This record gives sequence, structure tokens and C-alpha cells, in this order.
Amino acid sequence: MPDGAPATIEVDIIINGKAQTFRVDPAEVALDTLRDAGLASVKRGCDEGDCGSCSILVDGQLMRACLLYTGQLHGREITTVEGLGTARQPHPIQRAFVEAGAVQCGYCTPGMVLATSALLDSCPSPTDEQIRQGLDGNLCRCTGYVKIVDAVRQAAAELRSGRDRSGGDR
Amino acid sequence: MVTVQKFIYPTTLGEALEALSAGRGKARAIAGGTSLVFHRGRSTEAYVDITRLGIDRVESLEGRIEVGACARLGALAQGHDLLVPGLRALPEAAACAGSTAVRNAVTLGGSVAGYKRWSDPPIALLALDASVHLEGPDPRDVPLADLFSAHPLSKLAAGELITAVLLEPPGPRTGSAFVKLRRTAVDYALASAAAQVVLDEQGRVADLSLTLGAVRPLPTDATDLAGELLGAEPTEDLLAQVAERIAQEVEPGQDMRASKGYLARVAGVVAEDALATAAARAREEESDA
Ligand SMILES: Cc1cc2nc3c(=O)[nH]c(=O)nc-3n(C[C@H](O)[C@H](O)[C@H](O)COP(=O)(O)OP(=O)(O)OC[C@H]3O[C@@H](n4cnc5c(N)ncnc54)[C@H](O)[C@@H]3O)c2cc1C
Ligand code: FES
Ligand code: FES
Repeated sequence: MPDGAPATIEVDIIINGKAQTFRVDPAEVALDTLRDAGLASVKRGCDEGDCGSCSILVDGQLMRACLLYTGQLHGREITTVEGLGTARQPHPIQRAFVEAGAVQCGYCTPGMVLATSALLDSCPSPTDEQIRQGLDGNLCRCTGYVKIVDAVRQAAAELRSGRDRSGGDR
Repeated sequence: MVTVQKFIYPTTLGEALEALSAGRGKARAIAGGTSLVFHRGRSTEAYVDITRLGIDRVESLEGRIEVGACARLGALAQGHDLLVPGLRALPEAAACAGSTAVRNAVTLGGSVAGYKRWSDPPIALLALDASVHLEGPDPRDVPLADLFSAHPLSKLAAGELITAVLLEPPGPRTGSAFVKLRRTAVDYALASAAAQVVLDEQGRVADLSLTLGAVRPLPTDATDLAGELLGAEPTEDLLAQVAERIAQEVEPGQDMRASKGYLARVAGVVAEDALATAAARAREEESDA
């Protein structure tokens, strides 16, 4: 490598089911890479791990895009809200957030929805205490959280009944 | 200035050590990355991602319990059959380190090597008298207390990796607990304490250890300050006396969130809670047996 030329690395990531290769500065943080790739749901709030607005799922685990170098995601599968549902066909968690009135300015919502998705994956019938724990790292400056907890409860019930209808495997 | 040029993704310990043997400034281990990400790639040429080596399990090996250095705190927080009540302080500390998403990323090894004043798991591990296994030029086991006589990172040689935390399986009538005081559900500790208590058949304290976290830059061994419990039943009165003594004798460092007087008081309180819970767990262990 000639002196002074900025290094780039190739990082292979499966994003919402689609394999992609990124050429980035090895010092780049995942939050920047994902936003540059057009994933606007991954939001920059605090940039230091405190607010949860940059939440993503990495191999199904809730993580913070601002606390990861892009290079750490090589070979991993990530999910953002764009991979859950669309405006026309919202995921049951997204529908529950709208119906419960859990969205005001909406800045925290993608993170809240992903935290809910991770929680309900491992704990389909959470108590209110478990809901609050599952969302413990996601801050909302608008709603006061009551409606968000309502939405998670509603989404959990909806997903359970959906599984019952489809003769679910859990 | 050196900045990072590449990531290396070894899948075996041998490959990782080989990559790290390039030395300081050339190669650096990255685990959860939750601390290193703030370096923005400065001061090393390569990050060696050590999360793909299969060193993230809790296992019983040669009579000891080994916890892989890349076990995530979120997984440890779920508990494990091998992490019996005598070792409960570890999953308890893991469960209250930061928020869910932070715990899913932070590794046990990273929380030891990348120790910060607020790191919770090392406080539990010190009270449990843990050792760590180091791999590198000179593979060996080192008592964690030795690693913490200064910042642990300063005790690791270039190219050296913590691969596992080693715990002795506790004997009968042993309980442990970790207690943390913070302002919000995800705050750093103002003060924390981890205790392990062994009771004799009469319910008197046969052995104990106590470590205080967060109040000083390095963890504080407060076992001697709880010495009056030895040979006695851990009654509320005695535990309150220990709390008082700790408040008198611990000398807290600066913390912008609270005065030194307050920190000294609450250090006593969390120590009292940790000892009481550890003793209660030790008693339950007896009734189970
Ligand atoms: C918002 C936030 C809140 C937090 N709150 C808490 C809290 O309340 N309690 C708590 O305990 N922690 C908390 N943490 C975590 C803590 O501050 C550190 O970020 C964490 O312990 C680092 O672990 P890691 O696995 O991410 O390490 P990395 O960032 O990957 O590495 C840290 C250092 O350790 C070295 N290293 C890592 N693994 C090894 C190894 N196996 N052998 C040798 N060297 C190694 C690296 O080279 C580096 O120098 C918080 C972090 C954030 C961002
Ligand atoms: S921007 Fe990542 S947690 Fe706030
Ligand atoms: S809806 Fe505005 S921050 Fe949560």
C-alpha cells in the first residue's frame, strides 16, 4: 500500500436477506455504512451506545450500530426495520405500534420495534417487567413509554395467535 | 499516526495468536468492540477479530469451570447449570452491565482486559477468586487478583490473549451475590459489591470474600473489612456493623455524580446487601443438599 493512500476493506454482510459487499475505510463504524447504504431506519442519536436509536439485529441479537466497526459485521446477517415489513404490509409489531399510539415523532420507533422483535423471539409471552427489561436501552423522548409497553403486549398477543392459527411450531 | 488498515478473522486460536504476534501498534485483539470502537481505528494497523474462535462456552474441564473469554455478557446473564449459587455473582453482574444491546456485544474477556472503573463482571470474578488463562508467548494461568494490581491491560504482554476465565466449583454451603447501585436501569455503578460466603454446619461464617467496585479506580478487596463475620452467624446487627466499618474505611475516588461521603455510605450498603444475599444463598444450598 502506498503511503498516505487510505486503506479500504471489503466487508460481506447479509442485510435483510440480501448479500452485499461494502468497500469501506476499516475505521468506519457500522452506523455510517448502513445509513450510507440507504437504511434510514438506523438512526444516529447519541453515537455512544446510550439511546438505542441505531439498533440493529446481528445474527438475531439486538446490538448497536454505533458500537460496532463495519469490519466486525463481516460474514454476519443483519436485520433492520426495512427487513421486517413495509408501509403496505407492516409486520405485526409495526402494526401494534401504530394501533397503540406508540409512535409520536418516530425517531426511536425503529429501535423500539427491533428491540421488541428480539424480545418476542426469545420470550413470546413477556410480563410487563420483561418488556421493560427488553427495551431497557431504548430511549423515547415523546411517549412516556406507557403506549410503547402497550404496543409490545399487543404485538405479543398478535404473534401468539398468528402462530396458533398457522399451527405454529413453538 | 498509525490507523487501522485491515481486519483479520481467524477461526482458530493458533491463527489468532499468529496474527497478534505482530506486536503492539501492529495488531490488536477486538472482541465486542464496544470500547475499541471509540478509538476510531487509531493506534493499530490491524484488528484481529477474536469472536470466531469458538471460545465462548461455559464448560467443566479438569475439575474447574471454564468460561470462554468471548462469552457475551447477555448469554452469561441467562445463567448456566454450572454457575451454581456459590458462583451466582457472575451471572448477576453480567445481567446488570449496561443495557440489553450492550450486554449482547460485550464479552467477558473484554470486560476484564478492557476494564473500566464501572465494569461489573470483574468485581464478581475477583470475589469468586477467579483466574484467567493466558495464551501467547508464555501460556499460563494467572489469578485475577494479580492481573488487577494495576490496569489488567498493562499486565498483558504484547500478543497475549485471555482465552478463558477459570472458576473453582464451590463447596457445600456456599453462596455468592453481586449488588449494584445506579441511578437508572442502565447507568454505570455508583458503587457495587460482590461477595462469596461459606457457612459451617452451624450456620456460622467459615470463609468469605468481598470486593467493592466503582468507588475507586481499581477494584477494592474489602475481605478484611468484613473479618468480624468470621466464626459468627451473619446476623443483621453484625452485617450493619460491617457496612459501618466499610463506610468509615473505604476512601472513594472522585465521581462527578456523587460526593465522596455519599459513595462511602453506599459502598457499605451494597456490601451489606451482597453479604446478606450470599449468606442466604449459602443457607439454601444446605437445605437443598
Ligand atoms: C453505553 C455503554 C454502557 C456500558 N455499561 C457498562 C456497565 O454498566 N457495566 C459494565 O461492566 N460494562 C459496561 N459497558 C462495557 C464496557 O464499558 C466496555 O465497553 C466493555 O467491557 C468492553 O468489552 P468488549 O468485549 O466490547 O471489548 P473490546 O472493545 O473489543 O476490547 C476492549 C479492550 O480489551 C482488549 N481485549 C478484548 N478481549 C480480549 C481478550 N480476550 N484478551 C486480551 N485482550 C482483550 C482489546 O484489545 C481492547 O484493548 C458499557 C459500554 C457502553 C458502550
Ligand atoms: S446512536 Fe447508537 S445508541 Fe445512540
Ligand atoms: S416517539 Fe419521539 S422519541 Fe420516541
